[in-house]
Amino acid sequence: MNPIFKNPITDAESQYFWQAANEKKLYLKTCNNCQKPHYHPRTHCPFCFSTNTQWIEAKGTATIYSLSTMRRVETPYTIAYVELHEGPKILTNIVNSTPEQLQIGQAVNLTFQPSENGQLIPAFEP
Amino acid sequence: MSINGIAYIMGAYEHPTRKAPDKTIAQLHAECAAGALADAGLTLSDVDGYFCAGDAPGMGPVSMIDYMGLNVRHIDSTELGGASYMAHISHAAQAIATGKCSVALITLAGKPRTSPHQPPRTTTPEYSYESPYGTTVVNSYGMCAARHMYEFGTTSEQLAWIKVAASHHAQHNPNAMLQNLVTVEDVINSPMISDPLHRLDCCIVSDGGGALIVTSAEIAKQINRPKVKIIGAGEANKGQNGGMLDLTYSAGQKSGKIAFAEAGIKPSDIKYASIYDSFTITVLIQLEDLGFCAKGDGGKFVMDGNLISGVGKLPFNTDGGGLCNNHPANRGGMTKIIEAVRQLRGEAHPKVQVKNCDLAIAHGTGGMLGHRHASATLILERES
Ligand SMILES: [Zn+2]
Repeated sequence: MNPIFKNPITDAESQYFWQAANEKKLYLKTCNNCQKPHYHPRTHCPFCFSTNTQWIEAKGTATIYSLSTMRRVETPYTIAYVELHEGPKILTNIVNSTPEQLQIGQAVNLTFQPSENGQLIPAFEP
Repeated sequence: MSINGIAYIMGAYEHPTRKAPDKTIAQLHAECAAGALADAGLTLSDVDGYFCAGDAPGMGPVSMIDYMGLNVRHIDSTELGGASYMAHISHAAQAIATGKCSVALITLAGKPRTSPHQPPRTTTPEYSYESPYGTTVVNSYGMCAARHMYEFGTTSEQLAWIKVAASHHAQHNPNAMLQNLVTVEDVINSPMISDPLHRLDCCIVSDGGGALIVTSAEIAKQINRPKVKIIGAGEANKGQNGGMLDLTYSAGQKSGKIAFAEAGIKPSDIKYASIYDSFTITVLIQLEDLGFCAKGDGGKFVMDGNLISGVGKLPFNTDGGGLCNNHPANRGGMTKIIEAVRQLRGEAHPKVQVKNCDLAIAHGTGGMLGHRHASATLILERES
């Protein structure tokens, strides 16, 4: 069961991220001052406030940190934080699976789902 | 410098309505203000400081001060969601300490039950990255509960005890939205909303409001009401920390430490606790964070009626809390403070009144525990 994705609202800071998603790439940012990666991406590093940040492409492997399946909707869906290979935990959905197949600590891989207007949205699957 | 002993909560009022299709939000604010002023034996013209948060209509205090006909010299619209009102009490004490006002009015009101639809704030910096994933309040807290269970072995039965305790208290509150007693089985057999939280793990949605009056020591002396002294307060914030997040604790760990240090007391001194209860897991995590038990031991701590007045060691939310009584504007901080005031005055319902209640805590969380939130802690003392 896959969730129904809404169209993301893009803004000046997130435009690049969503363009890359359409090319099936998940981007986060890393800081050239303190060397720490962060998510969600922003112009100022949240660890040292440097603006010397740059986009990096995530490898696409992760483990489930926590999850919750919303049941009281027409199409139940699973929201989760997954811990990326690169370190940051990111908010996402786990798709192409049933809740019974999912648990914390499980390995998941990057996939992409089209939203209502065709924009590709990063998600994860077992 | 400290606010310990500077100011007193001398008026408190909880609106009896839980469903108000025939009233405006501004009107509810005004009715709550009138109730709290009457409780303190003061009038609107005595108020020289006004505090409200994001639930106030229009441009907050700019609209409400004009609507109510207030004439103030100090204004504060600190917005920390459901924790705003703990912060307002602290800020009122600070303003009184520095001579900026001497009678502060704090109001809250809202109608999520009869007019539930508020458009999302699409300009928040995280919105672009979170809105496509179906984030709701309940699945945000669901992820916190799931992680707590994974790390510490917390069970649904343990979480259910929190709702059971709240229902034991709500049965004595004639204004409570849910007055029926529930069992652990009732909670875990109620429909799953978002794993692992069942319907009865979730707070109610109610219309209503409340108000508080904070005064200087000098004015408190002239008021013929029991005195509730503000002795400690703390505020903190916690979010995703750039992706280095940990869902097992809240900003209460920090706000609680600050408040207890200012008050000069420890958690074991507390006789009554008002703990924010948007969900059962909210209570459990905050009890650990405030130091009532060790991190991870919350499940064992809340079992077997330990939160029930007259039964357990730490009576909590004796009005029935947000789980059973009232959660006006989806912001439970105000009603938490009001019940703490009732307990310290000895004016709680006799069936739930804590004996010799001289020290109480009121703790709030605003925002979403699983995304980003603020915590604010208040420690209050009865002055005999
Ligand atoms: Zn940096």
